[in-house]
Amino acid sequence: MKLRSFSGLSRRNLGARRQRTLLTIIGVVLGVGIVFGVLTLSETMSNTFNELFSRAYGAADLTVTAAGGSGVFDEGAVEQVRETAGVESAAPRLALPAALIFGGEMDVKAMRLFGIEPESAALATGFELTEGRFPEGGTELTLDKGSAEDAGLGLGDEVTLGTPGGPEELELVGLLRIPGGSYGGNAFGMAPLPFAQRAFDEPGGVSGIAVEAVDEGAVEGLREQLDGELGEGFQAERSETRTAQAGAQLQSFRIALLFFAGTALFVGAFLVFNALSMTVLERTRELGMLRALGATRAMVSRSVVLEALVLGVFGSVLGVLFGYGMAKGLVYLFGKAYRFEISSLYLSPFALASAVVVGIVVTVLAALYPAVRAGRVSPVEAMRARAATGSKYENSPWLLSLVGLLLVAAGAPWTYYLAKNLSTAPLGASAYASGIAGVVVTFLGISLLIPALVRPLAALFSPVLSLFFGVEGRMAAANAVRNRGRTALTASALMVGISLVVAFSALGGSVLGSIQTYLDGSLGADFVVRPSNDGFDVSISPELEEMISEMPGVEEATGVASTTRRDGGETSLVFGVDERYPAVFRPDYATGTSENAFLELEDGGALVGPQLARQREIGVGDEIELQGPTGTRSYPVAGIIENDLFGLSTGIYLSKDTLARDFNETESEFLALKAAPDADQTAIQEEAGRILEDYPQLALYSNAEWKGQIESDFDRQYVFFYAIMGVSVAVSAFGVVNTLSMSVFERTREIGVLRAIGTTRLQVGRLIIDEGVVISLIGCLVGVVVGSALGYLFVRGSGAAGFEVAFFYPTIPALLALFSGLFIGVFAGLLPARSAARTNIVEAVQYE
Amino acid sequence: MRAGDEVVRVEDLEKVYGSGPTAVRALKGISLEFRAGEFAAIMGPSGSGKSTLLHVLGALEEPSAGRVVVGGTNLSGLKDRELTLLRRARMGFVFQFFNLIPTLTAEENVMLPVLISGVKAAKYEERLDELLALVGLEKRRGHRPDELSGGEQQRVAIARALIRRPDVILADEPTGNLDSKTGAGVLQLLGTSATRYDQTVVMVTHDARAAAVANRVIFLADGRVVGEALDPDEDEILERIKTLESAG
Repeated sequence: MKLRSFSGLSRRNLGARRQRTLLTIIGVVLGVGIVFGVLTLSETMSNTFNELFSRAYGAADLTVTAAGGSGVFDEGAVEQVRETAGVESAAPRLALPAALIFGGEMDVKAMRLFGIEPESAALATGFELTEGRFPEGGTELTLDKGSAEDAGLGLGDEVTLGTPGGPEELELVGLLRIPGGSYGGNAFGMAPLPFAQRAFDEPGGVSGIAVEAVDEGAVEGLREQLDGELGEGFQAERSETRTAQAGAQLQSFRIALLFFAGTALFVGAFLVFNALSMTVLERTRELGMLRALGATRAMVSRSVVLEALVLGVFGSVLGVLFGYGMAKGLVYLFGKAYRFEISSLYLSPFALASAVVVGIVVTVLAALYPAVRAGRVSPVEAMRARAATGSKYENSPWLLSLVGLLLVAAGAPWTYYLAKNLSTAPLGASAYASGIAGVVVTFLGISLLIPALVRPLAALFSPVLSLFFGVEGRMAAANAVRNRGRTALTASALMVGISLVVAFSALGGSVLGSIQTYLDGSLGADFVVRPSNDGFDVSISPELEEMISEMPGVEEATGVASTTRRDGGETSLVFGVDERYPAVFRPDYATGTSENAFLELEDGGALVGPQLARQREIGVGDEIELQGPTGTRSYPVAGIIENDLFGLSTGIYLSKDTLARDFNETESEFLALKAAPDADQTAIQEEAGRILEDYPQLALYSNAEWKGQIESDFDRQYVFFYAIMGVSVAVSAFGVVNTLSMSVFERTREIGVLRAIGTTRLQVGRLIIDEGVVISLIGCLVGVVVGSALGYLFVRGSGAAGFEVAFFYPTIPALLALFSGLFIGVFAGLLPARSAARTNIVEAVQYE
Repeated sequence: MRAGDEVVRVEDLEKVYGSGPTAVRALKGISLEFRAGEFAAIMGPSGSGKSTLLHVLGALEEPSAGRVVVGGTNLSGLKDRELTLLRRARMGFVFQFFNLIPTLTAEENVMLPVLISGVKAAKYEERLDELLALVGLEKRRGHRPDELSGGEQQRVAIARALIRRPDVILADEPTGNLDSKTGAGVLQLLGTSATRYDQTVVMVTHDARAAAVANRVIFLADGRVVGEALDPDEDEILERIKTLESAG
């Protein structure tokens, strides 16, 4: 198709330089893909959770629970609610932590069990029946479809349920559909209320009442009325409120996801910038010609932007397709990491539009500087023999470095300040965004500093390279310095990805390390009895607790009960401990707390974790208020306990009796055992195994096993984020390929001369690869240093407010990052090296 | 533009590159006039400043001192955009190498100045055919530069330089890379532009034979004009050069 207009030149250029175009598009595709993938995942999670929660708690208008959000109360309240004017119907339910046992007692799946009344079952929960019916009486169970399939159960089969009293057999009478496929990774079941009350030892107890209002418009009025009539020990909430609260917890996770997606995009933009700069460089004489012929600066700049726009559009469209695949992958990884399976993706037009717009905008922005550079090519360039290489970086590294230092000086403390505040109070989206801005500013600053570092770092690597690679190594280092700006730009992109990996590893490693140190320091126990998989807190009946405590070889045993209270936006983790707790857990009090503080728990006192004390500004002698089924209670604070193992610095400790009296929580959820010094540990484990045979939902762990499990849980969740960061690093590796190609092009003549005087193809190829290695090593080294510093900031910041997180240096990730520099350099250098090695000598020498 | 009218004039032109002890003074005070219908050749040894002079004449570079007047317009003080538009309207360029955009065909390259001006290509279709015939490349019009010989590329460049009928055509060593036969053809085309269309052609060359085709030869040495000859033949030119070289 014949050229009809000046703007057609842009399209022609894209088509003519296919490989370059492809390389540039890859940056856009990967960046957009990640953003779309993450946005889709985010939306899917959000929607699934929303649907899940809104359905779980019923299609009701209001929910009545004990004050503080949870806890068992007397079913007499149900009648009272029913008799209130304005109430159409009321459905009681008793929510319990049960377990689904199948596979011949080998498999255990945690289950949320609702005890319900048959007449009001449909109101008690909003999940839909797909087959069968709701339980009507006796020992019947309606189960979620997914779990039924896992267990290989069909209607009419017998289901084994784990309860505090031992296994119970029920008949499966119905199947439910749960949005997202599972109840937070767990099973969901409904059984008749009398059965639930008996099996879980809660006679006459219910934990919630779903209320349907007569008048849809008067729901708020009804809520206030019920709140008032039922009194202090109760609260009535609109269903939306509960759903919203659950959704808020997702917020920080989603923002973290977006942050990482943002870095992938950032790096993708670098790639586009790099590639376009390269194109402008290659076409210097052509551009000079166009200027000589009468094209204005604006025209030339616009043509570059136009090229970028076309690339952006294509790249974004392809990116969305790639992102769809990415979203599927992320959802799968997420499911594996958090044991929460999401079965279907929610494709929102918002995510689609955002990803495409962002892709196009970022590409065009990345093109601005190269476009301006293109416009500035003087017409005289058309006649120069050598392509110009001067760039802003070359001219004034000191000015740039100064700006860089200023940015780092601003960004680093900003990040620290935010990390510090992040852990004191739940912060809103704007605070997180601000934190991210702080990190971005820091990165930008470091990127501007890198040009000044190129020479010294290359000099550092030079001897190492010449050791392994001989004279080519030295030449390669010199070449990297020759075009400092380009080397710096490429290294920066790599630096961002690597430093995030290292920083994140530092944070994760430190948190994990600190938890393990805590455990080592404060755990006097040798064994613990706890749920055998991640799930809800499983209750241990007093009889079982006694049996375990009286096992031969057990010197001390203590049980811990817990409850979670919600008061508006404030959540409190409350633990009930018995008098043997200090013997097993060796409390470590803060200064100002008396050694006998624990004794005051008997009188209704409380011990609190340090972070909680700071957040709520309470100290020894102050009172702490909690809401429960018996009303609002206050407890004098007897002391601050530094090694708050269960609440991780935000726990509240009361005596078990207090918990039972005020919150109706009687059973332990966790047992810790201390063995006698001469006890046979193996024998204890065997005996426990025998006792717990009827309770597959519980298991005995040795200290080492418990710590190992915490570690693997942690790692599992981290893998997910590493996947996203890995893509950033991959994208920046492409940047290295681009840079090397540019380098090869610029030095065509030089390479020709080298070959003419006897340098072999292999040597030329190695030269290019070595240059790639130098650039990558620079990027990785700076990345490791920056990442370590950033990680340190994160850790110090998050620890400053409470939970003492010691800094554990991520040695292995850091070393891996450094070595990856080698690997990336070689891998990225292969193609350019090949093309350099294949240079036609005669053509190259004549190249003007 | 009628034959004899003044088209380009430079007064006390100076051009310095760099500053301080490493400064290079390429032009040290040149005053010249070029008229319509003139075919001028600028000769001199390397380092004489002839290419620089051409750049300044073509508004490709600004002088350090002195005036450049094109068609009555003083170029000093004009902004880049205005200079660009002036080049677009009044100048045609033929460079020694790398004249053409590699991704465009021969005819598209010729049409480039038109496209840059934003004028519809259709309006110039006839002129395009005329020029392609003039340079003898109708059969090669759809070929890309890498498919054309050096001489063919130069001819495309000339056609491009002519398409908008500029007042001035500036050529930098147009025959430098060509064999004598092809070179003669190129020079003939340039000559025709001057005589037939009253355009001004200024050509920088080191080739005495090429300069002999011109009707005015200007000798440059060390940044200054050191001599002129009107309608010289080849021998005269070679004599002059020898004299200059022994003197300098």
